[in-house]
Amino acid sequence: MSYVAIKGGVEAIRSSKHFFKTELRTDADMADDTIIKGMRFACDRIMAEGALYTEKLAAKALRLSGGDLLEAAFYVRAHRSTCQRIGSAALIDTGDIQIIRRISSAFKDIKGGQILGPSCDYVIRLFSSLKNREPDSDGFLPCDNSGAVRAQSALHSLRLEDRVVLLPNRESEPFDVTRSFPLPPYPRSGVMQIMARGETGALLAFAYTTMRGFGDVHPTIGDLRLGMADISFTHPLTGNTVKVGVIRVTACETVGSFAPDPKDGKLRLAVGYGFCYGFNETKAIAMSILDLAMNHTGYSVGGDAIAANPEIVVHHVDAIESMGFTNHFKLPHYVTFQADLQVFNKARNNNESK
Amino acid sequence: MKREHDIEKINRDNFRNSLDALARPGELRSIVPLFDSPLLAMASVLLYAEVSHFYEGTLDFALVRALCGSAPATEKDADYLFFDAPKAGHLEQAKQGTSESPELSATLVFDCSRTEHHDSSRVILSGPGIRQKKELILPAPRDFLEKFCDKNDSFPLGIDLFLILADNHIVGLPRTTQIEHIEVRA
Amino acid sequence: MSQNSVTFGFFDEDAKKEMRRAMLKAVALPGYIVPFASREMPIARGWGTGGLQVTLSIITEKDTLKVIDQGCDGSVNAVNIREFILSVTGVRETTATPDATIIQTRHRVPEYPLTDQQILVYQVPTPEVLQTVEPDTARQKEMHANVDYAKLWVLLYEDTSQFGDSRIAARYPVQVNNHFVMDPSPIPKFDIAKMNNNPALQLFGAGREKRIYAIPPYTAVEPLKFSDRDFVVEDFTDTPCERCGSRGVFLDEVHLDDGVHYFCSDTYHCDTAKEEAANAA
Repeated sequence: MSYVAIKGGVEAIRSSKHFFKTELRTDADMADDTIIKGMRFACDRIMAEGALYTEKLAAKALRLSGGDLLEAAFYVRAHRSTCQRIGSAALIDTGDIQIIRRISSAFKDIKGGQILGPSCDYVIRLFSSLKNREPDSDGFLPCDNSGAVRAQSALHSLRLEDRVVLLPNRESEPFDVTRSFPLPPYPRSGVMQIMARGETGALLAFAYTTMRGFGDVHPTIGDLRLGMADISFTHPLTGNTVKVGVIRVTACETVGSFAPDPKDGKLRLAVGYGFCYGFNETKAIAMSILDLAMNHTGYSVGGDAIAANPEIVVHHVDAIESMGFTNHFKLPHYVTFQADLQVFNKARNNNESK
Repeated sequence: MKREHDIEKINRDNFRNSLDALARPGELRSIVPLFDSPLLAMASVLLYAEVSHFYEGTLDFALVRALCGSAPATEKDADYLFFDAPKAGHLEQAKQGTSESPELSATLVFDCSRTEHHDSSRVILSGPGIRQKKELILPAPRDFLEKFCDKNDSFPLGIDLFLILADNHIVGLPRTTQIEHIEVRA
Repeated sequence: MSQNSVTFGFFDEDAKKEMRRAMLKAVALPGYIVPFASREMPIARGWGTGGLQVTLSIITEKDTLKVIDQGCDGSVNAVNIREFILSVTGVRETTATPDATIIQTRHRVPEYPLTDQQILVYQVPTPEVLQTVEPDTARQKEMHANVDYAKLWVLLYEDTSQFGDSRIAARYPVQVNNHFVMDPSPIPKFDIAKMNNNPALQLFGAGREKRIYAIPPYTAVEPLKFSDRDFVVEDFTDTPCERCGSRGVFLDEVHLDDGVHYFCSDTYHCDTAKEEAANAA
């Protein structure tokens, strides 16, 4: 009989961890600052999906995970579990952030202006540069935030004219999914929080289903903005509002279709909202489309709208969860498979003897 | 490892005994008092920022309330209710949860350590957590225990209790416990 | 708190109180799955974060811990979890089932009978027993509220007529205290009988699905089955463990060049049975 190891995983596991560190994760040369500056969008995704605004730990997580963004966000989330909550910051009004980029595809001219700002949208994705077409640094104003613009959403005028659906607010204060997980019917703020922590790719895929066949959302980006938001707290002793920091954020408002508003039967436009930490336009847009799909089901034309079902979105966009569970299938399943085999053999015998 | 506040250790030990008490109805478990009070110790185990509470009695609840960050609520809405003595009327308003979410019900803690002997009840308990049957004397009046059974007669709706006995002991009575009274001859 | 200092049991006090709240409700509602605000752990979702959260919020300095995966203390998942718990609590560890006060397990109930001094913590991937027949959370809650398990019975009936028995191998639905039907976690049918009327408190944690549930000690646990059908469990009567010679225990099937071999799944049982056999010889 051959030798069968019935136990003895301890040494093998230690070696595996060691190999990962020495063979696959060779990060010695990378300083956190280099990563924060040079891998900005990676750090932003890690902070958003890790649900903690911390550039330094995001950079460290990226190093420890060898560049795997899901793993890196996981480090941040795990750390977040050990952080004591001090309190809630004052609400951020994204109409009030210092804008560094802001566009609307709904209106050509908007109050405050179309501000292209820094974007990769207009970059030709070639490894070699186009001859004589690349910008040289002469002739451009230095890009700094000192004179940053503040402007209300480009959809503000439509709201003033009562042409936008205002969803009834059933919540006295925002739901916090990390303190108690919501039950159906899901509060909108809770769903928003789940999406803001959600994985960009998952949100994108579900949002994409609504655009082609599974729902009929025809989104128009009303206002997409990137900028710096002040974070304020109420000082526990003085009671004054104190600014404690500035964070980078992305926000998006998307206009969908129109239908009779259940409130009074008047035709109004449906609007969805998306928001996340850091600069991540794809995520904010996808989130706003999902918000639109879930909260304005009557406005959609035909099709089975998978992503209009909060059950689908709420339980399937968190990559820390889906990645963990998908990977857990690598764990031993000897016992369950043994049980499966016995049931299978019995069923087969049963059917063959029929 | 970081040195932590003793209160977390007290909570840890007291929770474990509370869990055991509720899982094994009728069995006595001990509690380490907090600020000289087993009732405040139970409050410290159970209360935190996400749950509400109601207290009626003579103890100073302010410090525990501040430490736990739990908000006060009415008798009808509170997640946890605390009382200085077992009176049937205190069970009246406690919420029983809904059939979809029976966990949205109240847990009540009663200090029964000063209950007079003639107000005690000799009972036989049965139900989950009890090996067949358990006979004991509970320092709570009969109408109190009958009210408790009334509140719990449509499972899964109901309320759960902790009774604080003499010498810093507790007994747990979940909604699944059946109580049979034994008449005591005078 | 700095990132290098970790409190006893890893979590902050509020996180533990949230889990403790859910556990007390779970004990009062045998078999009912209680939602709770599951925290993220430094190990992945699906790798035992629910069981881990339960263990970390009940554990005290006085405990002795045993962790098993597939019945084995040395399996990768068990090793990882045990090392983590020991590093944040410093409690004693053991592989001996009777010496443990808390046993965290994945996929098995130990062969050695448990006592009223022990707590068995199950790691649960899918706490909602109705998920296979009803994916909608609101409908599931309604069905539990009405003790309406018709859809499970239909599934059982269809399987029985087509295959002679249910196709469910592990995670066989059980009814607790004649009321709620629950998922016993992916243990084999072989282990279901051990749940019934067990002197130990059984706690179940599902981290990803954010649910905690419980079976109090001495509580009735019955598999869902038709009254005219036997509950057929995995059968190893013809094959003793090749290592220790035990019969009547759950075995791992091992396919090697020279054919199929069988060994105890519960390694503590295997070691003690082997020792006993050696002493007797």
